Amino acid sequence: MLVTVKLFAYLREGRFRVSPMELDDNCTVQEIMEKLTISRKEMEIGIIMINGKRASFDSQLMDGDTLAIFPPLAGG
Amino acid sequence: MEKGLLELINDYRYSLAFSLSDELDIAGKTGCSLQEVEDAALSQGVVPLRYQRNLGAISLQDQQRLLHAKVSVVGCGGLGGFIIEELARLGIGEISAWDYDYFQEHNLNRQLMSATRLIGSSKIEAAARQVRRINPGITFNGIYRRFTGDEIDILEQQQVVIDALDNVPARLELSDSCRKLGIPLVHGAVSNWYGQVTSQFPGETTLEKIYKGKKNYRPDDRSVLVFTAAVTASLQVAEVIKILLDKGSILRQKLLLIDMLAMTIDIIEIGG
Repeated sequence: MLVTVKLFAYLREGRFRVSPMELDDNCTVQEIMEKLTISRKEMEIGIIMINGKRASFDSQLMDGDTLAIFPPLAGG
Repeated sequence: MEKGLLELINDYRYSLAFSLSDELDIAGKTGCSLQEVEDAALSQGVVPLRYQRNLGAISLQDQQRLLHAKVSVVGCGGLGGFIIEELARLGIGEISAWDYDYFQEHNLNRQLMSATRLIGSSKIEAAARQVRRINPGITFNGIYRRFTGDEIDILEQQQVVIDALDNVPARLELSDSCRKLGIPLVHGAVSNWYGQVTSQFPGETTLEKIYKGKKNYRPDDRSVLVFTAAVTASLQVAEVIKILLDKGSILRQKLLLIDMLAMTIDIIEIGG
């Protein structure tokens, strides 16, 4: 299946802003993060969205979905 | 018989400029503060020169509302410095600023109020001096303490609170305090080339949704570039002014994300 992955802030560095990804059916957010070497620890308080709705590490993606991953920003 | 405040101001009704020296002159004659003189002038349709170029973008009545406003800035670092500077220039009548910290050399890259000669001195004192230099017609309250959530009474009477903190636990405490007091909170956070802004209204839990209630987050990367802080702080101040004046579109239940490296701005819905 084909999903669109959007990354934000420093997750873009060395990766991409938006990219299509060809994945196995029922692939989870966690598995996509592993492919992209995004650490789960960092994303514990980040925001994960599928098609604009809040999702979790275990959420499964479907063909045509858009996954967006926002890392936490906390400095002042 | 000596003229009263309103009579003295009325003399300027048809003059093109009501300057700081005119204000000081009237303040001296009447014993009123500059803030009282400016307030009376705006009531009479006389615009202090310092606010002349605000008008058009905002009305004379709006300017007077700003002069009556009470706003708290929690944190006087990268974000807070720019925020205080802008609030003072806009003419916010009473600015209360919180910080317990002293300037260190690693603040010089981005903190507007910092200077080499101020290393080791109080951030609040530097902000107080700067506000006096910019606008002696407003009130600045320095609060020399770390915000921990136990100081909720100090935030009472504020119309808007600005989150310019640098850590998640204090941000969540501030969010909780503002919710209890029914005060809108304008949040900003920065890292590296990236910033985010949102406005949380009473009853909403936007910050808890953004940070998902995790209280022990400590970022590895503590870099912040000066323009990231300046842009994010300016967006926060724009939100504050719109909330105070009930104008325009506000980032309510929306998170604005700025990427100054890719030069993109995204707004995402932070709903359920």
